[in-house]
Amino acid sequence: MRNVSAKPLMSPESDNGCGSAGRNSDQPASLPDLVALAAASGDAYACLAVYPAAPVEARAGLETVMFARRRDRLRWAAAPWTPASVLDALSWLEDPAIDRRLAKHMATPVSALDRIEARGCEVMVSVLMAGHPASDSARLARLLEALGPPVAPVVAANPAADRGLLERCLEMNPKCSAGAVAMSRAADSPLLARVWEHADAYVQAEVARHPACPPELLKKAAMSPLVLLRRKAAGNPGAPVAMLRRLSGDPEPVVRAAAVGHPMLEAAVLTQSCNDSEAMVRRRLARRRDLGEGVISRLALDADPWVRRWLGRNALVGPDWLARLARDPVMEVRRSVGRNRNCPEALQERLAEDAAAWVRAAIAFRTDLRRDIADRLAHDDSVDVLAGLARNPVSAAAVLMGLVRHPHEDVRRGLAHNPAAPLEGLRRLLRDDYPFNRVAALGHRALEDSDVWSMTRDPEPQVRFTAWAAMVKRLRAEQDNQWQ
Amino acid sequence: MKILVPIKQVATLDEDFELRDDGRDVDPDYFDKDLNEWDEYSVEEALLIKEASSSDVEVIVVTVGPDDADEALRKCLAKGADRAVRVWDDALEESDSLAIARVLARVAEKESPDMVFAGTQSSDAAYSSTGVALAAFLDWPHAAVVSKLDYAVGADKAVFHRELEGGLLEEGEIQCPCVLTIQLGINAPRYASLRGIKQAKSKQLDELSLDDLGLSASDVGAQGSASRVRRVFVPEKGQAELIGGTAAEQAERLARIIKEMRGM
Repeated sequence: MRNVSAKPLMSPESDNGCGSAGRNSDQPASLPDLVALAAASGDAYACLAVYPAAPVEARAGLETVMFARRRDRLRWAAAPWTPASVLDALSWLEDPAIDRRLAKHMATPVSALDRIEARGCEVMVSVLMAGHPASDSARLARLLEALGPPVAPVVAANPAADRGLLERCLEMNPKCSAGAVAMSRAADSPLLARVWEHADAYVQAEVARHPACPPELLKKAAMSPLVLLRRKAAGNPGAPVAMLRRLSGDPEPVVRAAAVGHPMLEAAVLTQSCNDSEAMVRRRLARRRDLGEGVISRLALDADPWVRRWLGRNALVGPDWLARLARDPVMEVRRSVGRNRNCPEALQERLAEDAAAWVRAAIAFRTDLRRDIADRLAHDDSVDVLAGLARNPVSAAAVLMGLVRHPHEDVRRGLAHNPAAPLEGLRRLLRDDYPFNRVAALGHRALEDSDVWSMTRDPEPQVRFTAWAAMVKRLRAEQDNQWQ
Repeated sequence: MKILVPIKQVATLDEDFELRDDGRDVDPDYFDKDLNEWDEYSVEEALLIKEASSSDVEVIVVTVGPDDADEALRKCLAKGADRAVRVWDDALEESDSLAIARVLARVAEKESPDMVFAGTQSSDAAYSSTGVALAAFLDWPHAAVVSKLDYAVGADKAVFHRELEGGLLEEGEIQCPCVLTIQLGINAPRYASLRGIKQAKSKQLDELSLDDLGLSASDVGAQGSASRVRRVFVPEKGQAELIGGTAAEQAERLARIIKEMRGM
């Protein structure tokens, strides 16, 4: 038996139907075997999961099972987890209702869209394809010419639209396309200047925020009587420092906040912003990653709890100020300290004893937690704390074995996300009443192939699908290893 | 002691759908079937009473529906119900909630339960009338939209809370046997365990016909119903507006709509 975990963490239970000594008698040894078993199972979910790994000659057998009922075909065409290759197969069926779903589905591959487009489709399907992330600029150009002005805003909003297309969209439908063009990464300075000329304030604001905004327009926006334009100018990544300095003293708080959040603004201005009358500005300041000691010391004493919360999370804050914030009367501020990646061990220990469970939970999730603190937290009765411990690799195996029996499903599920979860605990999670916990557990690398295989007969379709898909992944990895 | 729990396998609609050729329902290709959400709670309430009791309590789930409704019954058996009953006859097609309640009343008379817990409503048809009509056919007292229940096995009365308008709760007392329609949130429905699912396969599931219940085709279906669906349709677009434009434009438009609606 192949064991994919780095090392066995605990001796496995024998009640998973196979024990630890060998492969199940019916367990496939290769991908072709797995595909054949899926087709023979008559289980549509099994066939869906193995379809991407099936050779062309085996696919017809799988399709017979998967596509037997129209209800299922419609379901697969809309399900977010349907593999792209299955969506491609569905596009051959020439069912307008399925085509509509495929055109909406974000995973539909280019080949399927090509097929639908080539045979002709409803206008609505074409519009959906114009907004589809798999549509390239060539398809967008064809759709734009075929459908005309109404589809121009959709084409312009597609990230695949190049500069030429954006220009054509503007020509065809300037009023409705301008906003999308102003937000497109493909727009360059001359195009943005053209948009600006006839645009309303909202579109001009998007131009002002665009990295390619012409400098003269950016300056115009920064001097505009409209707050919206000044705010967007303050958020432009290429805004000159002098402009930002001026905007940091703007009469409008939202403009000052945008300027204070700009990474190009220098420290001297930040010091003044500590005293800003509006909490919104100081909150933005507390999130910066380049605060000096002086600014930190003033913000740590700020009257606004949100300023202190943001500061508590800020990795620049030193241990002394963190210690002060860890005594804050506002629980969320103390929790922020508990979540700070530089929270010292002594503070972790103190916050693990905090009266608020939400603060203790922040500590329980820390992967740099000392084992003895984790052990103490294991006696906590808060679901949030225990859910943190369950997914924390620091937790002792015995603690995890207790948590996998916890009445709350969120606590039990933590083991699925814990890289150090004992195999015995994971096997128990595979028998969890809550199907989603079984799905989550199936992704764990410490499980053996036989564990995963045993779940291909689970009563819940989503569990079976996940188990079959996990088998594909494992057998494919095994096959790749053999070839190397 | 017996608790009878009428359940329904409901249709859950896809995002986009087409109507049947006769225009009276959605094309079945466009919906899935599942146990009615309210019934998850009524089954759970019965199971909690069974588990809290030191004496024997039998929980029987019953539904009126074709073969595929067995799936919903098996789900209830897997959760812990003891027995299931499914009633079907082609004559039951087109039955409204009144006709269904008539059938359920006959099942209740046959089973002689001490309590009947129905869901407050079904999520697909949403008439909220089957449980209440069942009480009327049985001539039993009933309480609707029950959000809390205090009942000990063998007691001649149960105390309940009902949800009223404005966040008010009504506490009431009811003579047993009675029919209660159970509201969402009264408990936390359990998931069927893997062991339960396995055991459900061997639990008793009785199939009854109209003959078995002493009913004729004229008691059910269109003939035995007081109402019928004339058509199902998507209403013409009303005042809905798709707000487009930039984020700031959308926010501005939304604010304007809210102000207009509030007369500001």
